[in-house]
Amino acid sequence: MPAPLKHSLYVKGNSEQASKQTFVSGLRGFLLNDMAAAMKERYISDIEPTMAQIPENGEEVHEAIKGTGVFKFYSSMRYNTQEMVWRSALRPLHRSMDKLSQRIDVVSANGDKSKLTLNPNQHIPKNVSAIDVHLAPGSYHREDGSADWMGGALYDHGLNIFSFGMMGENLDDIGQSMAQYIARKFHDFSPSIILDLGCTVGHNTCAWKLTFPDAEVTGIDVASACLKYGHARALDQGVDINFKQMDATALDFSDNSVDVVFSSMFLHELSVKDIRKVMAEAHRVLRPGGLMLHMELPPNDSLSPFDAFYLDWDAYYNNEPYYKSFRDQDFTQLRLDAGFKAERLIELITPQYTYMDSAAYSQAIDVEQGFDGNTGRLAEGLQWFGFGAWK
Amino acid sequence: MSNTDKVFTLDTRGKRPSFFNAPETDAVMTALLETMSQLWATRNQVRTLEQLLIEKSVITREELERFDFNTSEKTKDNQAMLDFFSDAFRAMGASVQSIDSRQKDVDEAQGSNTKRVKT
Repeated sequence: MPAPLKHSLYVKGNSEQASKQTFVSGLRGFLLNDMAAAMKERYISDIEPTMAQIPENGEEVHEAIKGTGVFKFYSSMRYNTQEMVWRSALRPLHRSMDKLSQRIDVVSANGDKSKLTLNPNQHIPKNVSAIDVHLAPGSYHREDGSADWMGGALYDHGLNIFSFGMMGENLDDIGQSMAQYIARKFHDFSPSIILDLGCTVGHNTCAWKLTFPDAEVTGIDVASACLKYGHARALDQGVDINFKQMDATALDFSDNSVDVVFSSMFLHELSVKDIRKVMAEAHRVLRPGGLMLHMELPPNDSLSPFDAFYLDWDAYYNNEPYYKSFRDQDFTQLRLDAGFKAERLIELITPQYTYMDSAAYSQAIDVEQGFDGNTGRLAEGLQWFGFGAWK
Repeated sequence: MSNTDKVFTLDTRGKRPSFFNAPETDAVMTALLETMSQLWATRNQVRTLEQLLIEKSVITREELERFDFNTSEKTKDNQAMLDFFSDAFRAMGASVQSIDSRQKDVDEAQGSNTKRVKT
C-alpha cells in the first residue's frame, strides 16, 4: 500500500483521494500477484496444450493468449489501473499546487543552488516527448502553468502508488540494493565520481550517496521538471547530490573522469541505437577500473516464453515501445560493442536490500542467484537484475 | 489566477487499446473500475465518520439517518459527481452532461418543472 513518502514535498490527498490511491495500489498488487498467477496457470493448463506447436518466445505466447478471456480481463484491468495511478496522483497534486510550489521554492532557496544545473536549450528526445511514457499524462517533462516541477512530482507520487510498497519506503530500493551489492562484493572499490543516468527525481541517485558518502554523485536527466523537483527532494532529505540536465547519449563529462556510470529502469525506454550511444559514452567517460552498471529487466533469452510475454506486456500496452526490442538484444554483445572486454563483464541478481537486515543481505548476495519469474517483476519474491562491465 | 484555479489534463495522449471484441466492453471496464474505486473510497469515509461520531457520542445512528446537506454542500457534491463521471466515462468518448441539463431533459420528458439550483 502507498505509505506517505519520506520528505516534506509529499502531498497527502484528502480522505477520499487517499482511499482511491489505496484502492489503485491494492488492485495493482492483486493483478500482479493473484491474477497474473491465475493467467499463467490457465495458459499452462488450458491454452498451451491446445497449440500445434509449443511457443518458442514471448511473441508467440502473446499471439496465442490475446484472444482469451483471462488475458482480456487482466490486460484491461492492468491498463485501467495504470491510468488510475496517474489520475489519483494528479488530483491531490493539483489541489495543492500553490502550496507545493512554495515549499519547493523554500527548500531550494535554503539549499545549495549550484547543485542544480539546467540547460534551457536541452532538446527533449522523442522517446520522452512524443508519447506519454508509462501512460503518465504529459510524460517526465510535464509542466502545469507555473508548476514547472509537475513531471517530477507526478513521477514521485505516481511511482509510490504504482509500486504498492515494493520499491522501498523512499522508492530507493533499487539504488540501495545495487549500490550495497557493489560496496559489499568489491571492498576495494572506492568510487569518487558517480553518475546516475536518466535519474528522474533522484530517488535512486540518493542511494549511491548514502552508500558512498565521500563520492560526488550526480544525477542527469533531460527533463527539467524532474530535476527541479528532485533537487528539492534531495535537499529536503539532507542528501548532497548534483542534478544536471543532460542527455545520456551525449555526456558532458571528460574522458576517463568517472568511477561509476549507473542507471535504473532507464535503458528499456531507449531505442537500441541510443542504448549503443549510452554504453559508448559510459565507456568513454569511465576511468580504467571504473564500473558501468545498469539495473534492468532481464533479457528475453533468459526467460521462459511465458515470462518473456509477461514482461513484454508493457511494450505493447504501457507506452514503452522500446521495452521489448531492448530485452530482445544480446546484452553481452551490446557491452562488447561499446568497447568493454569480455572478461570484465558483470551480471548480478540481488534481493531487496531495504527489506532485509544488513547481515541477512550480505549472506543472501553470497549465494549466486539465477533468473526466475520474479526477477525484475513487482510481485512476491522480487529480486533485481543488474548488468554492466568494469573498464 | 493561481495554479489551483486552472484546469490541467488528467488524460494520457494517444489511442487507448481495445482488449475486448467490442470496444464498448473496454469502456464498461473503465467505468466499473472507477466505480469500484469510488465505492471503496466512500466506504472508508463513511466507516470512519460513523465510527468517530458514534464513539464520541456526537450523534446517534438515528440522527445520521435523518441528516440532509445544505445547498452549498450539494453544489460541491454536484461538481464531485461530474469529476466522477469524467473519470468513469472517459473511455466512452461522451462529453459529460451536466446534472442541471439532465434534469431539464427529465422535466421535459415528464412535463414537470422541477425547481433547480444553478451550480
